[in-house]
Amino acid sequence: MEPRNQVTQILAEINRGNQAAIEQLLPLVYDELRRIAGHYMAGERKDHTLQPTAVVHEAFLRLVDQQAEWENRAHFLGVAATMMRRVLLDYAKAKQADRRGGPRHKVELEDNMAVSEDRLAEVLAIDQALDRLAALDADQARVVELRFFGGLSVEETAEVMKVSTATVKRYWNSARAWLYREMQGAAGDSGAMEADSGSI
Amino acid sequence: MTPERWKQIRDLFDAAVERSQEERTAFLQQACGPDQELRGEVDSLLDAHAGSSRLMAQPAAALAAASLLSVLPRTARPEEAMEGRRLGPYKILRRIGSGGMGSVYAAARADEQFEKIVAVKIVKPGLDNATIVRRFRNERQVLASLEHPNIGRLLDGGTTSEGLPYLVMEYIEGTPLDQYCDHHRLSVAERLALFRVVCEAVHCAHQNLVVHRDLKPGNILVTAQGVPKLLDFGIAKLLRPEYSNQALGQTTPGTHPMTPKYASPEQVRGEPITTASDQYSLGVLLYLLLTGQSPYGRAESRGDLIEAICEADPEAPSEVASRLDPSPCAGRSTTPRGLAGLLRGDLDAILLTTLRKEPQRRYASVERLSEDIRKHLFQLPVSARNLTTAYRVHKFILRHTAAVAAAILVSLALLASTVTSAYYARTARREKVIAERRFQDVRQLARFVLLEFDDAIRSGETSARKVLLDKGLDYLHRLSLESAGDPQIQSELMDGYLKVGDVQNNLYGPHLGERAGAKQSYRKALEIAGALADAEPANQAARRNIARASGKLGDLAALGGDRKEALDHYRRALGVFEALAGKTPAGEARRDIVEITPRIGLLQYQIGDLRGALASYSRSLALAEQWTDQDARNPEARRAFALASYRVGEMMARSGQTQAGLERLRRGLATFEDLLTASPTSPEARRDLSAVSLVYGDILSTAGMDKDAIESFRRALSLSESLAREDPRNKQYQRDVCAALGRLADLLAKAGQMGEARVVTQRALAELRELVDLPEASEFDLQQYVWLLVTTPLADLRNPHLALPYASKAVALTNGTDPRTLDMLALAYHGAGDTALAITAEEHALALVPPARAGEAASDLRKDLEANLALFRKAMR
Repeated sequence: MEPRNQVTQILAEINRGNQAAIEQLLPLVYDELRRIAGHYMAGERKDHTLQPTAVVHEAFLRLVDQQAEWENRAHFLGVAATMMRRVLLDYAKAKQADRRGGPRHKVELEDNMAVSEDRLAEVLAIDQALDRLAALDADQARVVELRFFGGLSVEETAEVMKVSTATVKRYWNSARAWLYREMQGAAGDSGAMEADSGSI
Repeated sequence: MTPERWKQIRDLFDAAVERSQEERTAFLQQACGPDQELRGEVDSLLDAHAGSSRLMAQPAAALAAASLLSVLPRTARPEEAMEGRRLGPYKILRRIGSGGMGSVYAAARADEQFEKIVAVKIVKPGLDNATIVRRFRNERQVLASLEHPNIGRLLDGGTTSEGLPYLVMEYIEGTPLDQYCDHHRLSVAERLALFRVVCEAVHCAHQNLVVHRDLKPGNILVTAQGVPKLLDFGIAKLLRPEYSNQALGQTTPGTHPMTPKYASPEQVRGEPITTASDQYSLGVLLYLLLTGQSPYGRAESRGDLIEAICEADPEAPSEVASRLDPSPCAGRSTTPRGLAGLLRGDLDAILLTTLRKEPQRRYASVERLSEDIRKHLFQLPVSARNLTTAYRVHKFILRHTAAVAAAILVSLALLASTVTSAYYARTARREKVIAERRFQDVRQLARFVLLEFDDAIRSGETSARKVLLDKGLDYLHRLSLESAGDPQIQSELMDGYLKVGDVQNNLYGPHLGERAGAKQSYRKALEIAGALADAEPANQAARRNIARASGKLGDLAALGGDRKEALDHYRRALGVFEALAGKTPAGEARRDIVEITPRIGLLQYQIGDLRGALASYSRSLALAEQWTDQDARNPEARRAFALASYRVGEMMARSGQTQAGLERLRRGLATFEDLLTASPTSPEARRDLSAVSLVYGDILSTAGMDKDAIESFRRALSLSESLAREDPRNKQYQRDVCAALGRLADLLAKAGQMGEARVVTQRALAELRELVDLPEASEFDLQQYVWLLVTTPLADLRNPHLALPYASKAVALTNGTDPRTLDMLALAYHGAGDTALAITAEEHALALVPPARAGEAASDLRKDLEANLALFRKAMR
């Protein structure tokens, strides 16, 4: 089957509520991401500043039979956000694995675009805390996932969740406060998550 | 904490946050009552809130930044041990290789008495996703269809207990081709002979419509017996139509683990892959075998390599050889000078031909490449050398500026005039033979420069193209003077003028005044065709050319908005075609008439002559029906039928026979749908259907069936959007998108769906603005833009003042001969508050539309114009 059709089918699955279908989507998105990353590395995309969220969206869009499926923008944004979270976490985990054993694999991109490891740790910490929040209120956790991992605006988040922007803002406020408290507890005295340490 | 408890805390938090600091305490005191734990939770959350504003202030992706892309090459899980396992009757012995998506193991067939070694290729665990599995199946399918002594054979295939697919193949113990040649110190001739065997294998694959796509030394092993074997069809592509719905050819090229060092420019760029791509890889391989060097010199980083593949012309192998150290040359039983001598000429030409950036300029097939090498080995003339001369001229002209190009043409013209004089001076016989040959050469070159070359420079700079064309025309002119007596050359000249006219027409865009050159060229062609026909009344071809040239002149006039002149030309062409109908092969004349009558019909419709238009289209329809009756599967015939059907339907509906017209239109639509189903990716089929969907929607909405009309417009929109997306530079598609948007905006507003109507209108206005501000904006673009600006029901988007200059431009473009643009202008004036001018413009418009004949209803156009005029007059009072 053509990847586009395949993706479209998987998306339909997700739409029907089968969240596990996202697993089937990942390798395809990765293939596409690799290709786009290749273009960046080959310097074919000089005109763009690299915006990872946009890259994932692009990867996604390319895969999708647009005519058939993407009339439903909210659906797209929602799945893309989940995808983005997965991609980031895979990355963070791969980083940790690197640190545990073996020499680090040098990647061209990292030369000019260094990333702060602390911030990656922050992403991981948020991810873990977010799982705990989901146990209390799945909708609130989803709001955070869409906004923080998916990079969606308040309006887009409202569109995906089919709630008002006021609700999104309310959910976001208390969720962020809760997460902040959680992470401060977890970070203890290390200060990594202190607001005034500049890492947040 | 339970979810219920959290909800309680959260609700209090939400309420407290809204309140000022002073109010909060009292509020919480009251709300929590004695529940101090609850109070504590809310307080601590409020504290956290105060400090949390910088948490997640940026999206996660921004925190992880670009480096998240670096994880991508390394997502596979570690490989599990396969050694010692059994797969069906095979026992895995050891790993012998590893590729992008799988590992290859040596295995023994365990159930037989003698041990037969096979190669087993297994998908890497962790990579067993759908894409990879599909590639595996692909390879299996490809190999099963290839039976060649120089292609590794497929023996079996299956799935492991974990569900990983595997292939069992002939086990080949061999050395990669380049190493083999070096180890055995093969001479240039021996290397060429071995390479030709590889070509045979590749050609066999191509004949089976398989493109290998990953040819490199590591995939061509040479056995101890000196037999090369082609391996690894893992990313091969099947060109067979029955597989075209599968992903094989259509997966994005970059997702394939291709090897850039041997990849063709089109592969690197992600363009369609053909057999010529394999030929290119073979060229890189041969370059390496002969010189020991890559054609890309020292390009090492992926970026440099890709740039070299796509941009740099490779150095002639003989040049490379002359700079080599003696040792690699000794490995080819020669010295640097000797090697350079062997390569210079034929082999340079052969290699540079296979390494051309443009696939269509390489050899027509790998077999031809192999044949040229054979000829070289037998010291026969090699075809690549002729190709290369023309190629160089081509490249040279492409690369240089207008001045240089003009200089070539001037010198060509001079050369031609001396040569042709020499020809006609009829001096000594020997000289004549030489002169004749040179004359032919020059003529050939002139044709090349003027005709073929033009396609190549279409993307070039306008001034350069103009100089070239002018000089080319000058040259054509001289040639025509000097060859007055030669009908063959005259008829070539006629073709030349027609072609040049087309170029001029396309070159300057649809602009009045600048079409004059094209018109002149077409006239010249007409003149020559006329003279030829006069000289030889029986010359059907010349007479047909009169009609062709007339048709072109008609197109030109129609483009320029001069419909009367256009009609005259078309009618003249039709007359000739009709006279020829009995004399040429029947199909040809019929096709000519089927083509020209709708053009007449369209003009008639545009000037409001509905009855005439209906007659013209009906005639086209009748002939198209005959044609499809005889040749039911011919897509051209079916398209002609569909076109005529829908136009006839449209005309009927517009002249009041709504139901019958709709019926006809639907038949046309259905045929277009069939044609699209037959070739779903064809841009033409999509464009046809989108155009007809628009007309169908128009008729539906006139008949009051707005809901169906909206559906039809949506269909048109989605088709043209898909086209515009694929080819963003083609303005016509953007135009189509605008046409659909404009209509959709209208009807949505009418249906009260104001939200969507607004979005669609804004989008239409933005896209149209882009179009109308282009220098080549057409009257239709302008009309659309004006119409939307003046009539949109969304009051705040209406802007007649902005519309006025565009409306005037449309009228100017059509010389004031088009009632619709005049009507548009009138509406813009009216909207802008200048009713007197509106009335004048509308009266002009009405004067151009024939009034209804006795006993007949007036045309819709006339009715519209009259209604508008009445409206303006009323406003005046």
